[in-house]
Amino acid sequence: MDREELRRQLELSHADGFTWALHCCDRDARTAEDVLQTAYLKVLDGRARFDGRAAFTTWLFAVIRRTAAEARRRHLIERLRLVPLNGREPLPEQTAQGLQDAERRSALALALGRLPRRQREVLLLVFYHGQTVDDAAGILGIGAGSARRHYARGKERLRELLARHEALE
Amino acid sequence: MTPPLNDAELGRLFADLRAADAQWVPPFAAVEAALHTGRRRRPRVALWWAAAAAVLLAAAGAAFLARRSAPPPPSLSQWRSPTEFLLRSPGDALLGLPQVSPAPWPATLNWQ
Repeated sequence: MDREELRRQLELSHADGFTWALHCCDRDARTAEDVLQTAYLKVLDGRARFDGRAAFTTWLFAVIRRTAAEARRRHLIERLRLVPLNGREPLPEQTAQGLQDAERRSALALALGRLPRRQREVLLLVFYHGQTVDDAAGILGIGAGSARRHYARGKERLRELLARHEALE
Repeated sequence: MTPPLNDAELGRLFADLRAADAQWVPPFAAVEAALHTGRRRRPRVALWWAAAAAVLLAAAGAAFLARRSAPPPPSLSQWRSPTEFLLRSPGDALLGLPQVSPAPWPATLNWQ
């Protein structure tokens, strides 16, 4: 795949890539932008090579996840800020779409944040990004059986947390 | 107590979150433009490392040259203690061993 085609694929997957980066960075929008930039650089410079064995978005998700993990490991998140995009603020907890909707989203985000990372990642990939459990396993670099276990346990735990939150309301 | 959410309800919750997140996606063009700016900034980091390496090399070179240009240490037979003068006393000339005079005849004198 040549550079122009890579660029086109990145543009097509951009919204998905950003929201996945957002989840890999604990919903920190600015860090997600930095991670996304670094991942795009890896793709365009050829440091990350697409071999066509999976769908482009699936492969890109794995690159983004690895980039976010590297940033976390090396505590480079502050230094990764290549160029801040103008006029962008961190995600607010609530939007103007209605207090009840915002409350439900907030409850979901909170519950997801309480799940173990693997479980959260599998659930986000399946429910949020519409990947299959097998594709999620490929993105996370784990076996399909392991991904299914994380998926089942994650769903169970998420339901408990959401029910608990609802009971407290 | 309400029954736990089924998969479809969970899916709707996630879809709602996804729709809310979509408004925060930065335009691709902006990220791409930042990439090019970021790429130009990368060599600056490399330059700092190169400058630091050059300073270290220069310091190591200067230390090496300083060691080479220092005078060689004196040989053991020529060495004098810096506190040797403390051993001298005014009567040394009288109390010390007499100097042995050289032979009164030339060393090349042939006796035969």
